[in-house]
Amino acid sequence: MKQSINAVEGWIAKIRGYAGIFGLHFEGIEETPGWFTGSFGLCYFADPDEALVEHCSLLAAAYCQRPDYISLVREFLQHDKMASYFRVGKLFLAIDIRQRYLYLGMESLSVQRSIAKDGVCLQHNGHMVQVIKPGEYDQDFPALPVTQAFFDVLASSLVFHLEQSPDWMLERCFPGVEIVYDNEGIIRKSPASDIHEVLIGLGFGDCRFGDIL
Amino acid sequence: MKLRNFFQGDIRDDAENGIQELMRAILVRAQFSPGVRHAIGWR
Repeated sequence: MKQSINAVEGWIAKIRGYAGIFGLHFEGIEETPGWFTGSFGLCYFADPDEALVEHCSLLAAAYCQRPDYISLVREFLQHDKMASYFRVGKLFLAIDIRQRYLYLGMESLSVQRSIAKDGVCLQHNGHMVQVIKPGEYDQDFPALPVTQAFFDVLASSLVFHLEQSPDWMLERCFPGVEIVYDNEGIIRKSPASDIHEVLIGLGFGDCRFGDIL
Repeated sequence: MKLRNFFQGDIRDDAENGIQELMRAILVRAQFSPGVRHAIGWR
């Protein structure tokens, strides 16, 4: 585990069952009366040799092939766009003003999908080569299981530190969206019936945790 | 809740730094105990 310091704090870590590296970084404090709630972006920097790379966006996959990829990951907050190209979800950590209760939560899309409406062509040896056909997926990344795998380890760490199990749990599911972009740079969100957004929360202490959502 | 087991700060002094310090404490403290660290799922 390593801290990656920029204007905000960030960490990278590995967990069992995943060949890639997770990156977590602070995004800000959210307004929740009676609570201090921090939001944290979660990234997954896939290992160039693992099958998950095939589901990353073209831009992210290109990063994975760079010889300095691991160096970039180690300092991911200092490189523009790294965090957004590899983002898989969001984590929340909240503590009440009197520091008696804790909340740990996550949200993620079941699948992060982007569709290249007009396809994508790249220049290779002086020729234009079509790398994505019109209407096909650029990204189709299973963000939820990846986010949840990290969340489970983080939550287990918290349980270990507090020497107690969560007193409260919530799981909510909402309709999800996919991203469609074209060659003119227009990006729009479109409802996707097979994608859902999942929110999971754990509360420690005897409290009405639903109030902070 | 045994918060003092792993976090001695006071978030009220500086919420932005305090909440990052709290996350850091959750992440880092487990790393110091190799057996526990692997049992939890870190590697």
